[in-house]
Amino acid sequence: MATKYSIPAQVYWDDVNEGDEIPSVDFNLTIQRMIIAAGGNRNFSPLHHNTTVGKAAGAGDMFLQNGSCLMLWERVVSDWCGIYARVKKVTFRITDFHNAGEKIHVGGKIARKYQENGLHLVDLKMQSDTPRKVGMTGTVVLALPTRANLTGTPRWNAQGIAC
Amino acid sequence: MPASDSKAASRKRGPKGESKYTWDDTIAAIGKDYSGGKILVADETIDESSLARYCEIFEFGNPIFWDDEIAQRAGYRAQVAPWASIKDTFSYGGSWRPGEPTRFPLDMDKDARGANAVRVPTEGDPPMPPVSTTFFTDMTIEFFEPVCKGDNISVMGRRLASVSPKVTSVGEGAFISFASEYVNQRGELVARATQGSYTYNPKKKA
Repeated sequence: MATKYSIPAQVYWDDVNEGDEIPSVDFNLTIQRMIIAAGGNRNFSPLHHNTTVGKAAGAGDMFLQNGSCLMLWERVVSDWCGIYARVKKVTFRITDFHNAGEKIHVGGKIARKYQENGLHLVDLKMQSDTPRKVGMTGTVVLALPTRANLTGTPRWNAQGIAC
Repeated sequence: MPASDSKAASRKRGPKGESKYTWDDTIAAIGKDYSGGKILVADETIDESSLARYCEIFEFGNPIFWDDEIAQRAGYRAQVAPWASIKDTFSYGGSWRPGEPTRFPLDMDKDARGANAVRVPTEGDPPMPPVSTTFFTDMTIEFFEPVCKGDNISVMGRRLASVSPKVTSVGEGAFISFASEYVNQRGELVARATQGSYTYNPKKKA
């Protein structure tokens, strides 16, 4: 059946390996995008839309709020994984301001491939680079479908066990 | 407490702590809840427009965020809310209600910035020595039941999860984290987040 949007290629647990890199994305942080991001995240602190306030806090300009920094990772992961994969957990630490006017490079690599509680998982080691240095690091734990169950989007309960 | 009063109370931020306390008192409070038992119900029920506005920002192209039919094909109830949106956008408790003073006084300075956001139900802080400044450091979010179009998120709990006193290059204070849970309108757990911050007194400039 035809759909309004095309369905992207699917990544299956069977087909990935530790060390594989996922496609990276460069994000241009224009002032317009910063303002839209502040509204999109409902975070209206002037740190994220006011150059003077951002600089007073030690940044080079207004800078992305942590939830917006996390959005960059979601874009990269969701572009790659297809429609039948689900993120189970994310851990991140911000190490540099993501300032207006900068280009942020985001990429990831499969650091671990394993099975746990009936789920087929990979740990993606993620990294955002600002023009100066590493801006954010962490891990996205992604549950993937398998070749044995091609359209089985992983589900789990409150204890993290497949259901 | 009426919802609007609860939100106003949640917005009070700024310097905190008392000189009669040490970081040992803070450590002794690990595990205690500082939400006052309140539940913060998000203003917004997730809809097609709010999902589109969110996904446009960084150009999320995965169709599960845009199309009911594709989302349902993948086993979801409806269009999926991006996981990065749960903690902020779709748990936002609103910013102003009738009867409250303006949020936009012309003399508002940077110290008033914390008054703009309601994110987690808050009532008081753990006992701690006086500190003037706090910034975000790290976060862990676990996801459970998917969040989809039509859902309405509530945030509950603000449990002190960890305390690590430390002198850093910017000052003297402690790394502190609080844990909260996010549930949907059926009471199903959708996420559990632990947010860390460094709360401290900046070094005096020579």
